[in-house]
Amino acid sequence: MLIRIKDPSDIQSSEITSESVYQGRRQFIKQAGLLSAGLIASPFKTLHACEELDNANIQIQEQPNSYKEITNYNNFYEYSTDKKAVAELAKNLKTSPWSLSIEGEVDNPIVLDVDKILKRNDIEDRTYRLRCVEGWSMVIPWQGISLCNLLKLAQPSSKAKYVEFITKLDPKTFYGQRQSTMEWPYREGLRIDEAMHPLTILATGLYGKPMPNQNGAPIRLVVPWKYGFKSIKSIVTIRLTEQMPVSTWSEVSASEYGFYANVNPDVSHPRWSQRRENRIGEFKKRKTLLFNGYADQVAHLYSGMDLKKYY
Amino acid sequence: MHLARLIKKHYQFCWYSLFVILLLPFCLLLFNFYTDSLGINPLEQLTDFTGICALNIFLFSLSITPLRHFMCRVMIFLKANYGKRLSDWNFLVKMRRMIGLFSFFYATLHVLIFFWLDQGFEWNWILEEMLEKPYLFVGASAFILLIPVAATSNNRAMRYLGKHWREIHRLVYFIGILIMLHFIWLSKPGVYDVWAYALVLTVLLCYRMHIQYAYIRQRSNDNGMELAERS
Repeated sequence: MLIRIKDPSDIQSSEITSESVYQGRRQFIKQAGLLSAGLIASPFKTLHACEELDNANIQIQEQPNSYKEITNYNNFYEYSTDKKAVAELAKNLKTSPWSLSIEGEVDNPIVLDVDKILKRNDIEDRTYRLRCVEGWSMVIPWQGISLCNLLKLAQPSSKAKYVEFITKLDPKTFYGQRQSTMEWPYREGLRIDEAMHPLTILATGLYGKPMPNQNGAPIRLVVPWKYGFKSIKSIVTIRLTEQMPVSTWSEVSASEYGFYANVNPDVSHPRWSQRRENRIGEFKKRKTLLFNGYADQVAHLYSGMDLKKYY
Repeated sequence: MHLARLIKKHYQFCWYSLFVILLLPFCLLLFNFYTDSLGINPLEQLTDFTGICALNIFLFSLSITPLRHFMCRVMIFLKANYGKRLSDWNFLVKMRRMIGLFSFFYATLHVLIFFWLDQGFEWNWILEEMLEKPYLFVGASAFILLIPVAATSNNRAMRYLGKHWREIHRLVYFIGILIMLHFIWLSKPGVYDVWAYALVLTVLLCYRMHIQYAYIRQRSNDNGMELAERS
């Protein structure tokens, strides 16, 4: 076995121009010209720079749901398929110590102590809509840290095309994992540009309180323009990969739960209506918005893609 | 053991008691509705609760025939001096009409809640959803088929329709299968309650088939020499 000791002067693989970029160099030059004119955005960004989010653009006029609503109606199959039972069952979850590993196609694999993440000063308030694939929705005031900020600590390499997230596997605590409802542990995935998007956060709390167990303590993903099941709870591993990871729900039923799972009123589901949603606390149903109302921020990620095919 | 005789004697009382029992879920629903205690998602709660009530009471009405047969067996086993004949338990059949109509009542609430609270009587939406979601299509079919059954659940219709009455009311077996498909298709992966109901329905329908089969076999063996019920 060849053991390679890294020389600090070595070029990191994240700095190596990837083949696709190299092949597209002519286009790059062409676009660079346009870019200077401020007409279009650069098709690729260096992974180490995290975009700042203009908070004013994502201010939500809608009233946030109450703490009681948010913490007593949870889809968390690791505990139960009954949304009302999860709050009680999840009391047994021990969230400290908890380590989060960032590994895979990275130059600097790291294991983070979640207690230390909770003390970071880049934790922000983010009030987002949450749209569940089951046809209900809420508005939740999360606190969290931009996923990009954490990923850059591990220095994703040029091979990192996707990000896979894995929930803790612990059938002793997670009663639901004792049943073969699905292949445990729960896994989810994002494309790297989705993961790096400033809207994507790892949430550590809500309503200024530590993340309640039933909402995915101590740290969970929140991707507000996708159906709730993408926002995986109680994460222990973040793995950067070259191949598209298989998400647990698409393993259960690929025709119902796609990899992208973008909120889209035009892509129907055999059980639940996706055209309208039942906002918890409201009597009349609302129209569901494309990308859950975040089209201005994220639609460009999917330009040229057939959203009915890549649902 | 004079259970059958006792119920027969106090038939009126028993009928009203059953009426009150079957109305209790509705009272509970009204109470929860007015005290705002339908939970975090009231729409889901109202829809699920009325649907489950309709299904349970539907299965109860289907179990009257097996129950009658079973009670006879029990009384024969206990060597009771009353209740060994099927006719001793005829009052169960008289009560079945109310049970069936209660199932229809809860099914109607279930459908109304969907049309009104869920879809806001927007017929375009409703049609769109019906054609798109198989579970809604079979559910609606089951309800439409229940309407003639419920409408003919009275003495006048029975007299007027004669032997055709039975044919109409045999629809309930088919409706049972539609209801079960509705439930299976709307259940998300990992939720298994539906299979318990499916098992109960399967047993009840198999019992019907068994009776039918046994009865036909007995008839074909009948050469007039021996009384069928003694063989």
